[in-house]
Amino acid sequence: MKKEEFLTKLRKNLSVLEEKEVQDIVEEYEQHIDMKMKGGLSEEEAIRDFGDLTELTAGILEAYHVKANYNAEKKNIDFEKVKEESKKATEKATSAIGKGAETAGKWGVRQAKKLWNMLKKPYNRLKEGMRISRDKKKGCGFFGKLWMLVLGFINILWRLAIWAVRLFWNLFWLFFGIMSGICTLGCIFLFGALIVLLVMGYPLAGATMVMIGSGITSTAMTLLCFSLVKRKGKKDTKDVTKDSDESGSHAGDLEETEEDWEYPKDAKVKKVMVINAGEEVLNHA
Amino acid sequence: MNAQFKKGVLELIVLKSVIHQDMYGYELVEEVSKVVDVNEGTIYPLLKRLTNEHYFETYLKESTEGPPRKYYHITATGILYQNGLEQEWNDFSKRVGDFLKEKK
Repeated sequence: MKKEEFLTKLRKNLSVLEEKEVQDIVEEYEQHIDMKMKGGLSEEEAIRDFGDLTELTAGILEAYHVKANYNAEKKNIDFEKVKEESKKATEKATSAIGKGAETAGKWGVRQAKKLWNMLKKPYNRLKEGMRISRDKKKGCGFFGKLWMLVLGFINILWRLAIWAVRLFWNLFWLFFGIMSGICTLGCIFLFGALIVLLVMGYPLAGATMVMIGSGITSTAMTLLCFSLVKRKGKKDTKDVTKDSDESGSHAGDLEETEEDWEYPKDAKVKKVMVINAGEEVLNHA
Repeated sequence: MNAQFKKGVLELIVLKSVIHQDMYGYELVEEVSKVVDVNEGTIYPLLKRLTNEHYFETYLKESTEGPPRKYYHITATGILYQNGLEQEWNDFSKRVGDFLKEKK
């Protein structure tokens, strides 16, 4: 083997190291060969004394705590590939995240509005209820007034209770839904990590299967939880808008308000009865 | 000589060689070759390792012939390390010697 060939091979075998280090090592060997040649040896003889090149480079790499069987050339190409792929993936992910954030933002605003309406509703109802009982008071006798007051109060309490139960129910499922959503994300992440380890040769096929399973399970759990979140019916939604309109204008007369109000069935019947009773009392007086 | 014997003691010999004066690679190889018959290729990785572990410092010095040479200089840690190794070696060789004599 000629000197140049030897040095090129040495350089190639050491390419995992920093360029500066490789240069340093190669120069030293070159000097050594030069000196031996000056001492009267031929190039081949000088190089033969180094012994097997693979063993030699293994010894050098060992000094850097680098695995000697590390196939530098192959891995270098892999690194390039991985770099390119990860760059692409990052770009994709960035644009996806951007879109996702936009959608999430819009959704968040919508939800916030809904939440605001939901929170405002009982207050509006309360105010409305007060107004009705006040209006009723004008045209009723003493007992009628009392009845109206009591019933109005019960009505408000009933509404508040329903509202609270629904809020609790929704929050409960939202909480669980979000928790299992986080679980799903964790599963996906772990699944990715396990796949990488699996490819690297670790015996993790079982764990990966488990991760797929738990990923699917937690996804299903998330969907279940979110589907259990009770949305308002059409009637309710209409109610919200009407309510807010009315609270703005305060112009609706008694009959209108009565119709728009969402009463529990028996409460409505009772109310009609109460109104009748109130009128009777009035006539009597 | 047994390769395993050589490998263990080579580090000690290299460290001891530079303890009184700095040397460059080729010089060191020749010095070590006086004591043990060793593959030249194995000395350089050893020098590299000792440098990485801060037992050696290196510097370049112009030579009258050819390119500048890289000299190896032992550090304070290197001297301590060498003393330890020498002590170990003396104890070890004494015990092995005693044992061999005893079994004669």
